[in-house]
Amino acid sequence: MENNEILLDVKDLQTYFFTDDGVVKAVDGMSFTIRRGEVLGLVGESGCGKSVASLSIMRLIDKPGKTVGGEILFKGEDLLKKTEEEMRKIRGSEIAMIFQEPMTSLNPVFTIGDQIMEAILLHQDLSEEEAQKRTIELLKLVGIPEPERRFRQYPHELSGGMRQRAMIAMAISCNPDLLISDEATTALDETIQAQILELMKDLQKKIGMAILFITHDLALVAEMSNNVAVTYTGKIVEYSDARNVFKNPKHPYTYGLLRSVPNLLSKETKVELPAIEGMVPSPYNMPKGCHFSPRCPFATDICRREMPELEELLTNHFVRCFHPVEISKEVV
Amino acid sequence: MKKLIEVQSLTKFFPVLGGVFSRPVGWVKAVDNISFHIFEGETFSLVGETGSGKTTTGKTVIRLIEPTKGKIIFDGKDITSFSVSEMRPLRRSMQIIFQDPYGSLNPRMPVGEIIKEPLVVHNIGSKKEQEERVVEIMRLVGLRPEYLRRYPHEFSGGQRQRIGIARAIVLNPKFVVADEPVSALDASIQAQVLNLLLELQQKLALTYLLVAHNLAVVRHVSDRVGVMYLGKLVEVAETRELFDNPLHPYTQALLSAIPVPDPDVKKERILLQGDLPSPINPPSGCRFRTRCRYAKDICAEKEPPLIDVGDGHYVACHFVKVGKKAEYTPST
Repeated sequence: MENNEILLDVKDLQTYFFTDDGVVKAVDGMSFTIRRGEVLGLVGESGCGKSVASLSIMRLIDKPGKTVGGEILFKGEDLLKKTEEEMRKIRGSEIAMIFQEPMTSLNPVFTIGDQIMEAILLHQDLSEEEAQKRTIELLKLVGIPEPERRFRQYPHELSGGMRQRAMIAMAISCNPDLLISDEATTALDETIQAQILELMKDLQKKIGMAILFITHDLALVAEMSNNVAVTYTGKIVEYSDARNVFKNPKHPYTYGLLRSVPNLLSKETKVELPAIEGMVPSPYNMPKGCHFSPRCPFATDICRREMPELEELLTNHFVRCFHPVEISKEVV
Repeated sequence: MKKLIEVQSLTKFFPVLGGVFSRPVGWVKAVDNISFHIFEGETFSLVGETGSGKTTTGKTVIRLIEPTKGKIIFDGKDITSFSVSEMRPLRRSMQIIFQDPYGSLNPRMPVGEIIKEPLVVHNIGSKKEQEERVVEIMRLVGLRPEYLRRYPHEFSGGQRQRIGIARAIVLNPKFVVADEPVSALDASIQAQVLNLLLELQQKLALTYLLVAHNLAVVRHVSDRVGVMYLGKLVEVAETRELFDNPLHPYTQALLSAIPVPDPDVKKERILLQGDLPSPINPPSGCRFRTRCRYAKDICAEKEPPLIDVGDGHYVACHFVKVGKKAEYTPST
């Protein structure tokens, strides 16, 4: 396998929503790349554009939303230039997606087996019998006990963790090159989340797929990803490999977030947490200059006037800030 | 230390209705014979996964849900059989904060009225005094008093949770049940609300019963922690002790499942098999045995009692010996 080949190259992606109250720049010039077999963590709070970015890649943005600029190069070809027909062939077979709530993404009136088989029959040249065999293999692969019985069951007969496993089975049924996981474990209990994460890591190794891992949970990203992109108000503010981002955060937002979220390694408890003040600005009323400046302890006049560019501050460590956090402070 | 709350053999079964006459055909054993106490001024947390009974316990302690069996002693008084009118004066000293800051506030009531309502219900002070108290409380929880006439939808999630907290403390309670107070909030807002809860505890000498699933949050704010599994309390200890030296196999698995925001930490994960069994028909003996890697015959036959293994560390497991926690050797 050509390990270094770039699989997905998103360049200056812009997806806007044209609402009655004004234009919401949900994704406002995001660029990132994923190589084959690599995991990129896209992390941010609600409203930072991470889900819209993934739906843009799948070309699933509906009115009033529209991808108005940029390129999404998948295996060298721009997905934004594909016809709907061509996209339909890519979705599910080359790029697959799993969502937060498996109950609403599964059709309640079809059995688990039928739904997985549908994807296989649609994209692969297999007979019904072969597809059924493959489906049962997949259910076994994602760790569903008694796959023959589960095959005939309906989504409501499965637990949350089992449903998410079934979703994953469906997603990997055609050996996709890229799996987009949008908060796929958020609704699950911790011990079940751990099972699903191990499964994803395991499958990633076995079938060599790349993962775009979208979450709001910093700790999950640290565990899953090779590279990390931290997003804030539709823009990437910090982008590097996981070690750099977590050990040496340079953007005040990343730095502040890592310090303010309690974690199992912190030494002091029952003390005041160094919280980030204020809140994410309204998309209809973005501050001038850097969007983080009203909450930033290091902000100066220039921050309130101009939006900084995402620049390579250190080798392979990109930061969008006029005053990056200087000293490598011990964060965790 | 004085015990503010003492719960003895608390049990809550919910009927499962079925048949033409909607008769109970089974019972959901939400909370099954648990005992614990909460010291004055401390934060006691209940953790556990979905369906463990932690929220039911929290609500039963302040009699928002009537217990099926057991005793609740509040401030030296057995309140289990108090009538509604006997409970009323006590309600002033026990309050609750809910998880969903969107669903727990009346959308048609201005914020000032929402916070004032408990004072009106309990007929405390003159109109003018009530209004002064509302302003005082709003300042205390970090809300600007000039927003008095605004409606809940005009506030962000974090601010709404502050409104919920203001309403809970306006009567100057002794005891507050906080049911997942930050889990609906964004990462950067969670720290602000946690800080507020800690600050209020110090200023007003509050005793908290925190119900939460995020163990990092629990570790940060609690003095003691109880771990629940399928309606049973399986382990209780001081926070540090529980996190540094978990003795119950379930606690060990639960702690190992939590990701930490450090890519260098490679955690040895204990993966639990399968899902939570149904609380309608829980396993015999130890309820965790179906997922426990140490389970032996005795676990199916006998239910392990919650025993003190020293220094207020309680565990319900057949393989932990009294006073000899170091000799925990559950291997074959």
